[in-house]
Amino acid sequence: MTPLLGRRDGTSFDGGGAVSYTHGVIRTVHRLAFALALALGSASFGCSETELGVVVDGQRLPVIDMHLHPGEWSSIPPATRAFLTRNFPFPFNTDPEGVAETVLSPEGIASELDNAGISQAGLFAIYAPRSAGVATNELIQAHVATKPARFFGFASLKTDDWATREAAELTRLEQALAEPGMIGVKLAHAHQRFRMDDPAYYSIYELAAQLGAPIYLHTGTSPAPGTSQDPAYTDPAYLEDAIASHPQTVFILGHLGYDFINKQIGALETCISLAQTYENVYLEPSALGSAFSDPEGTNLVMAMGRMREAGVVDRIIYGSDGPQSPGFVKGYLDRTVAAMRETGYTIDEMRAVLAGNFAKVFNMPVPTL
Amino acid sequence: MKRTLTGLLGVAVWLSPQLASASEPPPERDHSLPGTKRTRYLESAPFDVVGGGSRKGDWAVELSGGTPWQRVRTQLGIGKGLTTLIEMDTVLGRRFRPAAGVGLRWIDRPHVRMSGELLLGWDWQLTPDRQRRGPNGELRMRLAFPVGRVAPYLVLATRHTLLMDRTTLETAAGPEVSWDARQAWIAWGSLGLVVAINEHVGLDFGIDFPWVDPPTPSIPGLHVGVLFGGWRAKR
Repeated sequence: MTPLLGRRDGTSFDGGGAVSYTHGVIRTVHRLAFALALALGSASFGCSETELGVVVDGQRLPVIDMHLHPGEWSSIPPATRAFLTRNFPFPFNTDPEGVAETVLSPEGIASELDNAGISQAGLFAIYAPRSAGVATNELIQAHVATKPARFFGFASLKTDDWATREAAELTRLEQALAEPGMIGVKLAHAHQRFRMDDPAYYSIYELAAQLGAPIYLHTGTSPAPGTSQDPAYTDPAYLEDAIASHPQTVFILGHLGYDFINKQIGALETCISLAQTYENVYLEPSALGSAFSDPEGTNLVMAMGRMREAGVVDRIIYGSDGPQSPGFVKGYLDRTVAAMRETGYTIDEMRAVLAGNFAKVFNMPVPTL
Repeated sequence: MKRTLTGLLGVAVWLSPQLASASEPPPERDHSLPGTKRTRYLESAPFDVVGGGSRKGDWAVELSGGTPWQRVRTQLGIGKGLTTLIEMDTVLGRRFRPAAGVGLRWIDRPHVRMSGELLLGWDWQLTPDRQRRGPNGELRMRLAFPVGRVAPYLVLATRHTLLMDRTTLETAAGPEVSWDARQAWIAWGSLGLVVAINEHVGLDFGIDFPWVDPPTPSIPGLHVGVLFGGWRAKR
């Protein structure tokens, strides 16, 4: 990682004298302004909280956010960087690299968790160099090591050239999962461009079952350029054969099959049906309710309500898909809690969604407050 | 928000001839007159900046810093309520907008000053992840309420930039280049307070509300500025 706010676009400050001094002063002023903007950004999207937990009807509930993406701006493809930049709030979108370096660092993520009152979080590795970018297992392990009581890691693997690299990649995955704090597997068929129903990749599910590592899968389309948007890569219906044939593997269906292109409910009913049919299926409602993906603010409410109606509350695991930009993590938690309140979740049901179900699936204690 | 801004500007334009004619300002202030306690700072440089418009020969400069904008602004009164303006603002040292224009004082009363400004400029950002450049125009309305040494003020503005997108397709027959034009819209408002230390120098404290490239949200900001100026001696 480059130092916080330390890089500027190629301007040389060497040469000494008054010009160099003036540039230094200007750069310092801009750094201060940027830091001020970050502070205002966090304040704008939510007040900072000193205590962990989210308060509902006078009760403080612990929260685990299973879905965060650390990383390095330089590891994201240019087209996706441009997409992300467009969705950063002004004035962060004028300095996306500076924001990313700040927010995606372990300290930045911990700050976002503090701001939201979240106790623990899962950090995802990803190998999708042509779409979402790359965050290596080693990077995740290093981040987890900085705050082992707070971060968990989800390892991933390269799926390109699978016919020749399968054994080596599975070995790397197994080694990654043997590292402290690495508790699950992250896959994204759409970003990594392999079909959900391709039996060639079932060895990943078999290994995950052997190691007792639940698998998080991106479902639904994706706004990231370079994504395979066809149903075989995005529609969770194409996962049913893998789910049915691997009952010992836990499948967590991320984003509920949301249609991020058209910003509407996508394969929610398929996800619910899979959860009702198979005991090894869990559901994670991240990202779909963000201001960008759900501008009307109705889709997350509808999804949370529909899952409760269908009787699958005990399968919902909370995640945000942050940190994205300052304040996003807290904002998403607020939206999710509001959606649960609006659709009649009891305190115990909220407690399960926000931390209890995660603790059950990953065999961990619920955080104490 | 766009409708509100457009509406406000429309009302201001409609009101301006009536109110301006009702309170025609003197063409030039004699700064050698001390004025009363209530009027001493009315034509001070700090109030000229936030209220807009200067008397003929009066000049003023704004240096302000904060987030999202840092700004340098100069203005010089040229008579008949008109003021020439030259500005340079930047967003965190990444995006720049130099501009020049004119301001017209619409309402000129002891405790109410209102002016309109039109600026033409050039917007550019040439950083690796964000590149844009294009001609830019801005309409701005300033409203200030001087009371003694202080003046609360409000600024509302709509800024439009014409941006050209170049698409290059690498085809078997060679690269094909096409251009598309689009408009980037920024609305912004400021709410602040200026304190005149004397007729020449003042301090400005304000909260800024940008709305840039909607529907992407924008972070509110704030600024602190030093305002100073003077006048040409009467012949």
